[in-house]
Amino acid sequence: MDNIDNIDKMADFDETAKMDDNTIICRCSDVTVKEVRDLINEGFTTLEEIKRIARTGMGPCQGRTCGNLIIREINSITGKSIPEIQETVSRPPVVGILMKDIRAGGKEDD
Amino acid sequence: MKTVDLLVIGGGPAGLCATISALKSGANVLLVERDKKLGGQLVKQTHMFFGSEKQYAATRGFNIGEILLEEIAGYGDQVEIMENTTVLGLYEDGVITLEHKNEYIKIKPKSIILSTGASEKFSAFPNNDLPGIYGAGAVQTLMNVYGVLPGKRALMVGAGNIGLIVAYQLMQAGVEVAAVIHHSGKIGGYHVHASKIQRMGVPIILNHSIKEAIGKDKVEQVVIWEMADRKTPIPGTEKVLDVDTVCISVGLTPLVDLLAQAGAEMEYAHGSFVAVTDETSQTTVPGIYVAGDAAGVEEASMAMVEGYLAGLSAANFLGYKHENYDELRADYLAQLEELRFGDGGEKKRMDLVTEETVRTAFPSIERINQGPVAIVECFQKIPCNPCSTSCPRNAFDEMIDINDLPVIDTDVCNGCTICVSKCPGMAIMVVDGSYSEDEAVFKIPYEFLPLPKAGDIVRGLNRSGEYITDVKVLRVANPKSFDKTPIISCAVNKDFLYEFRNIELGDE
Repeated sequence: MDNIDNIDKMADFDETAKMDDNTIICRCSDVTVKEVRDLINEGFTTLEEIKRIARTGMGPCQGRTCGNLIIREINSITGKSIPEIQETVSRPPVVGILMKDIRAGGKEDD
Repeated sequence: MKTVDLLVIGGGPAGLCATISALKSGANVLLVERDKKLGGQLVKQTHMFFGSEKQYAATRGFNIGEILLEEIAGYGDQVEIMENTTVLGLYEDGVITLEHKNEYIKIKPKSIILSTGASEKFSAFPNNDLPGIYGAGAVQTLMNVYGVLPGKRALMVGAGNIGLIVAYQLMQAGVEVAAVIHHSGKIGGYHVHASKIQRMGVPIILNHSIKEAIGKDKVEQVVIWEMADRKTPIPGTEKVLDVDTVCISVGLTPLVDLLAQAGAEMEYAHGSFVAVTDETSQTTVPGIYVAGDAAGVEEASMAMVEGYLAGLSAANFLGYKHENYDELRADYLAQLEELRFGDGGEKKRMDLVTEETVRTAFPSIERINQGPVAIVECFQKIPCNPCSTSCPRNAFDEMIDINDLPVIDTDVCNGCTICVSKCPGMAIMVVDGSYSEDEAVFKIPYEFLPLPKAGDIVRGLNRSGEYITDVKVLRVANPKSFDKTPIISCAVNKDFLYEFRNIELGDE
């Protein structure tokens, strides 16, 4: 997959150098980069921990927008390599569904 | 519980081709698509695709989608399609849950192909939550699917293929593009796409990144600044641009949540987490396959071939082995290798094309003055061959490797313009220096409305979109076979032989 084009699509900006503290890193829950950095500095250095405390990745985007940005913050502050910083555990449902639709029991037969 | 042979999740280029391939092998397929209609990103791709005939090169993306859908329709009851359907979860016991129009459905497929695509990466900068800041793909959807203009003046952040293509399409829709900025010194997209927007007058500003957006209720301005390297901005280099729209095109992330739920082993490769796969596109979970951007972000042409391969493999897993299984598999693998630069993945990042480079595309002045001849401005090895396969006189050398640069024998070329209309990069024009003592006729591809009319005097532009001279339109050729890439013939003063490349209507 060493297509020039891929490399570009994947390797985007490293934003860490210029993000000002009030930059929104999680649009779903309005979490700023400062809040995330504070948590990392307190020792919460996995996506999963930050998610549980700050709710990043628990909104409609399910971490698709903020996940990469937070991974890079962790990488930049702790020096942990990106593959080491595990993504969060994915559980169903991957997008929102109304409780009443689940309660209706689901269609089992064809 | 509903049981199916093969479930294909996602009806984009990879999923459609996976479906076709599995059907061809004899498997029954349930194809689910989250959107209200099949096609994925193809539905909004108005440009002609690269590649070879096997990947429908020189056909516009949305037309490729239609071709694939038609093929699927030919399989009747062997395939079931569920649109407006979102897969919610994959469970350890093999049960899949779906949501379709507020109905919660459970099914149990014997095999699954995940072709869920990718999502756009976002960029973090102050005020990135102001209205008017979009993903470039989102803007493409707004314009090309819904016919909605995102704004009046836009900044494109990122010069990969998506950024370059959407910048061009913004202009086609009537949006002014202030600039395309790119964080490093070498763009990631195809240079033919870059040239298309440069000759419309859009600057590609290298080594620049967005510092912040400014605005009260929506974006009113953006501040960009220069980068010393890919991540270190240089204070004091800030420039302010007045724009109401910012398109972020800084990469895609494969959508792999479902793969992770299925328990597939993941790895970090090329900047993303993707599933570990074998040579049949099977993940570490037997019977679960992956294709397209979900397997690692690439071009749509590669997603299609990956889809064919995954469909062939999944059908075989189910006991439907295609009679030409081995040949087909070898062919798909060969196509993929070729599309991915079979020569070892050399990094072909190159500098933007210069005037000196362009000059090398021109034959001798004697040849130009003899009569019409094609000028091919294609300087980057990309997987694309419609110029050489479309030429009725075989003036182009046959491309042994699809990534070869086109080589044209200008003694054989008679300037018929067929390659001009077929080139997905709009990189070819025809020049005829025999028109008169002082003027040459240029035949250029032009995809903007309104079209000029024969007899009009229009503004002639150079490759940076700067005005150089007035030119007279002689003819507008727009037959069906050109597929909406009209070719404009203009008489241009020979003083501008090596500069002229575009026209502009009106008096701005």
